[in-house]
Amino acid sequence: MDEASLIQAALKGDLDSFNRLVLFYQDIIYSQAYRMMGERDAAEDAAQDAFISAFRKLDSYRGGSFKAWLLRIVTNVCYDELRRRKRRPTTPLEPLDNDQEEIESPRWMSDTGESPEEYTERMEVARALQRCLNDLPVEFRTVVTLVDIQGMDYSEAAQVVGTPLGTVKSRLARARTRMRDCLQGVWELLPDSMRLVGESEL
Amino acid sequence: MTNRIKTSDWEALSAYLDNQISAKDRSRLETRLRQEAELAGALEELRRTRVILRSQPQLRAPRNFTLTPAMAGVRRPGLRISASPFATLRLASVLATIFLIVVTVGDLAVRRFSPAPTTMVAPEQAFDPRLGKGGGGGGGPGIAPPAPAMEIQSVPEEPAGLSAESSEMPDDMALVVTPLSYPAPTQEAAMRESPPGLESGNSLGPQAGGAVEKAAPASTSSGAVLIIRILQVALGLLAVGAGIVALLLRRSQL
Repeated sequence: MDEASLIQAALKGDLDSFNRLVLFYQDIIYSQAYRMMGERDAAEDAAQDAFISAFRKLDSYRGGSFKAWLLRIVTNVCYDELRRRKRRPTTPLEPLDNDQEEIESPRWMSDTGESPEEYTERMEVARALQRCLNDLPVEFRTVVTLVDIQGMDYSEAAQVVGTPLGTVKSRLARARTRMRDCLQGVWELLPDSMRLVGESEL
Repeated sequence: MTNRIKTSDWEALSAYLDNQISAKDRSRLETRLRQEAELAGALEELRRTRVILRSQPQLRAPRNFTLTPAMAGVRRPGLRISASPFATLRLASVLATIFLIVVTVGDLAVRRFSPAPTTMVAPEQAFDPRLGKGGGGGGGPGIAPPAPAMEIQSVPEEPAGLSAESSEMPDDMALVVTPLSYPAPTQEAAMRESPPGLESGNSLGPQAGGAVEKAAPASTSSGAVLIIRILQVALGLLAVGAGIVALLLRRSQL
């Protein structure tokens, strides 16, 4: 996919070219929105709003990483929604499980190659991780999602959040420290293969 | 155990994990890691946290987020834009108001700058004793001269609507028909009655002629005035009616 050509065509109003970019980046954008919002419906709304905003403000794209530009838009959309919710708290419409969490149908997380036990353990890890992310201040949550989940480096993350690189470094360290405290006991839930890979990084 | 780790140490350990540390700071930290078990334990905890975070798979979008033209605010070529009833009624009300103003102003301007109304009777006619009592009305053949019937019979034409009885009306009951309707009789009557030597059309002629001349346009102008009045009423009703309906429609939509 020639991203530059698609962007140029989209700048001239070619919606089909822009939609090709949407198809390419929608997983990343949705993933970021989900990690920040903590729930599926809100993440879908945020992702859709982000793409609509991106198309309308495409002339503000000044080159560089288009992925970082899109992530910045979805991050700001999520910030705005979270601030709005803080002013007007809402109650979830979905039924809650015993842990008072929304029960989701994670078809999009399914991996057909794993056993039911592996699937269950993976779901446990994912839920525990998202619970801990939800407890973080939104600024810390954003940075740790960008660097550790989205795989961005510090400079890209700084570009997305619009802060100096030193601020990214500081927020990331504090986020990881808090996540460390929250994720006590989750390490044992990880499959051996993953734990072995982790230890090999030492 | 790790409670004594300072915030700056946590930041250094985090940057060390990501290889985002200067060579000098790296060397210093590695020396400390060899000497301080607590610091090494903190590093291990941070590393496990990062492994857990990075173990999460990329989430797949549950649906496509591609934009429709409506979402993007793009208008496809060739599609007609259907105006809402509210917009149409509003436009109709505005246009009717504008046309009403134009017609009214135009009518006032014409009245102000046009010559005297054509229904005015010539001064000599008004005092001519041979004329009947004043007043309008389309009764008899207009001026009822004391002359014999043959003069009346000489009237070339009668206006529509006049009956034969009107010609037999007594003199004192003679109605003064607006002279505009009668082009000839008064002039002819005046010519017969006037003393010899007087120019034909002496007393009445010019005025009668003038009145006669004004007879033709009077009927057409009254018709034009009627049309203008009807138009003004129609435009006024359209402006007010369309505006009220548009307002009610808008309120029902809110």
